This record gives sequence, C-alpha cells and structure tokens, in this order.
Amino acid sequence: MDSSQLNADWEEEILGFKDVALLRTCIQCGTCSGSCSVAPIADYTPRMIVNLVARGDIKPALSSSMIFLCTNCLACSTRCPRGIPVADLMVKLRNMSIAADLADVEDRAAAEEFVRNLLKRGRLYEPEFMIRYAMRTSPLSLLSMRDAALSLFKHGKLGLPVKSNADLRDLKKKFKEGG
Amino acid sequence: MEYGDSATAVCKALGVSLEEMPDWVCCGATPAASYSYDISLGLGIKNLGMVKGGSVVTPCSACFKNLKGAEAHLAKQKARPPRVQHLFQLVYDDIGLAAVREKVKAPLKGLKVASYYGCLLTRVDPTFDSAEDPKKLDELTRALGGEAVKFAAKMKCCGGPITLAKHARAVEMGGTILKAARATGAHAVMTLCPMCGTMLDLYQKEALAGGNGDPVPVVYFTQLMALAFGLGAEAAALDMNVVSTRPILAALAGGRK
Repeated sequence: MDSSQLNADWEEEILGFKDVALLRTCIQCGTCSGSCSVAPIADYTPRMIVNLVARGDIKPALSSSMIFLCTNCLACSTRCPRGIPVADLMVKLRNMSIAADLADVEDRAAAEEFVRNLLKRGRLYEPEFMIRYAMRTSPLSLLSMRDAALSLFKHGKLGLPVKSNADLRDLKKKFKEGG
Repeated sequence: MEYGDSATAVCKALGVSLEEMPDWVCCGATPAASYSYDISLGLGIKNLGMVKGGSVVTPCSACFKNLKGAEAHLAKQKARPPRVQHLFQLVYDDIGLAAVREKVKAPLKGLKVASYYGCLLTRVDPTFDSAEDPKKLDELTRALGGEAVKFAAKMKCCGGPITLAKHARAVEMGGTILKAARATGAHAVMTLCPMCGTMLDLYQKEALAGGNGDPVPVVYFTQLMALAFGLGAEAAALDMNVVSTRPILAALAGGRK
C-alpha cells in the first residue's frame, strides 16, 4: 500500500475492520487510556488513536508507538462504554502500518520473522526465530539473550525443532503475498 | 515443560485424559495477528479443523484467545466449530472443585498464594469469571488447602506480547506484578498462562534487578495441584521453573509442623 494514498483509501481499508460508524460514536471519555497497560509511555494514547482514525487522520496513527506497544490485554475493549473494540483497532492499524512500511524495524521484524518461522514447521522454533530477529534488528542483542538462553537450557526447555504435518500451503502463500 | 507435565499428571489423577493433537500448529500468539489478521485467523481455523471429539482445551491464555476468535468466526458462518476451553475452565467447570478437593492428600497448609489471572482469560470469556475482579483461581487455592492472599495486581498485563520488540517495558510490567505479589507476603505466584509464567519467571531476575527482597517462585496452577494431590515434586515439575521453587516446599514444611 502506498502510504501517500492512506488518507484517501482509509475508509475502504478500515471498513474491512468491523464498523467505522462505531468508531465515530467514541465520546472521548478516556476510559481506554486510563485502563491501558502501556499508555503512560506511548506517544498517542488509545483515546487519541481512536480520535485520529474516526476523523480520517490515519497516517499519524500508523506511525505511532502506541499501536506496537499495545499488548492486546483487552482492558480497553472490555471497558469502553460504547463497546468499541479498541484493541482490535490496534491490531488492524498494525497490519496497515506493516503493509505501508511505516513500522519500526523491531516491530516489523518481530511480527514478520515470527510468522515466517512458524510457517516452516507449523511450530515456532525459538532459537532460530530469535537469531533471525536479532540479525535484522541488532545482532549484538544476541549477547544480552545469553542469560535467558542458559536458564532455558539449564531447566530443560531448549530442544530440537518439531514439525507438524498440517498443510500450511494456503497460509504460506498468503505470507509470500505480504499477508 | 512444567505446565504440560503437571497438567497431564493432574488431569490423569482426576480421571481426565489429555490427548495432544498430533499436528497442532502455533496459534500465532500476538505477532501473527500483528502481521496479518487473516493469517492469524487462518491458523486458528486450521487448528479447530483438526480437533476430534468436539472440544479442545488449551493451557495458554493467548492460544485461548486466538482459538476462541476462530471459534466465533466459524460459529458466525454456521460451521459448528468444536468448543474451545481454557484448561482452568475444564478444571473448574467440567471437573469441579469438589472432585479436586477429594484428591487432595497433602493440603497446601501454610502456603500463601497470590493468584495471578493475567489479562486475557476473563476478558476473552467474561461469562467464566469476572473480567474486573475474578475469584475462581483463589477458590482453587483454598480447595487445595492454601491461603489465597488479596492481590490487586492480579489482572495486570505481564507484557508478554511486547517482550521482544519492547523488552524494557515488558520486563517493567512483570516487575510491577512481582513487587506487588511480594508486598502481599505470598510464598508464590500462581499463573494460568505459560507466557505470563515466562515473563514472571524467566525474566524475574531482570525485572527485580537492583531492588531489595527475595525472589518469588512462580508456578503454573497444575503444579500446585500436583503438589496438593501428593503426586510428588517430580510430577509437579518443580525443577523446571527458573526461579527456585524451594521456598514453596519450605513454607509447606513450616505449615505442617
């Protein structure tokens, strides 16, 4: 998706996300922001993100730190007095951000390499995934993972990759086409 | 893994046989949905398509969320998906605490437990327990003979989904929960999600770095059930937890004096 077209195409894209009219019923009460587990360190709070999207100003939302800090803990969606699925909106915005190449490399690589790895065998093989992630973001960070890796090994939690026989061809094709 | 091994042992003791689906695939956790919601949903649909016997149970809250999403999607399309349950729901609803109490041979007397529900279980399924102030894990603690401490941080998110790309923040979130647990005087934190377990256990040293106070053992709920059933420390897989679980055994020894 061409990021310059974002504001023009947003309604069509977001309409794929449930109900835009529902987003526009947001009363900006801030319950979502108050409940959010990461809002204190985000550039835009969940309330602000909903506001941006509701009035069609998508680009700042797609470049925000909020959408990738979101842990999908569902506190916002659970408590929204309008029933707006705020957490689902964050996921949708992440999809759009990655597709428009607006996401930071850490956020994009974390998602992309995870999916690439799990599609190989149907199961995630963490050592392989972590190495690929580190190579894309910061190879030296592998050193800081040393302690965790040793702990896992010491407690019998590191093994060899295991494969599932499930047919994942359709999902692999989707991944190749960019999700 | 401590959660899988103890869960299998405990369910067996309760007369329930857990059969691992041979070709299950990763539910995609949070990253798959972040990359592509379609792929995430596709993984869930694939998993549900492989379920035999009409129902599937998962020990993990993130898997539960993803499978529940696929279940809802298929139900909307009138495709009659299998029933998706969290392992704790199976224990509480299907097996029942009365049956659990009957199997308790070594009550957890003297053990103070902070029940940590995590953010997802009761928000994904608020019909099971309150999405604001859940109580059922505490009921399990008492059924096992332990003392359930009041724990305000019991639903705070552990930060699992952002532990890779936003590690510092994730570890900080785990630290908040652990410090709160320590303040209650609990001997252990009991979890119902392995990802939460990882954040509070594997990364505990990092989360509590530079602070005062003792480490807090973090155990999956079936580990405490295995202990209370008298199945032994090996069935409870207590060696697999990263933070030493010896304080739990010490508290129990003290409680039984």
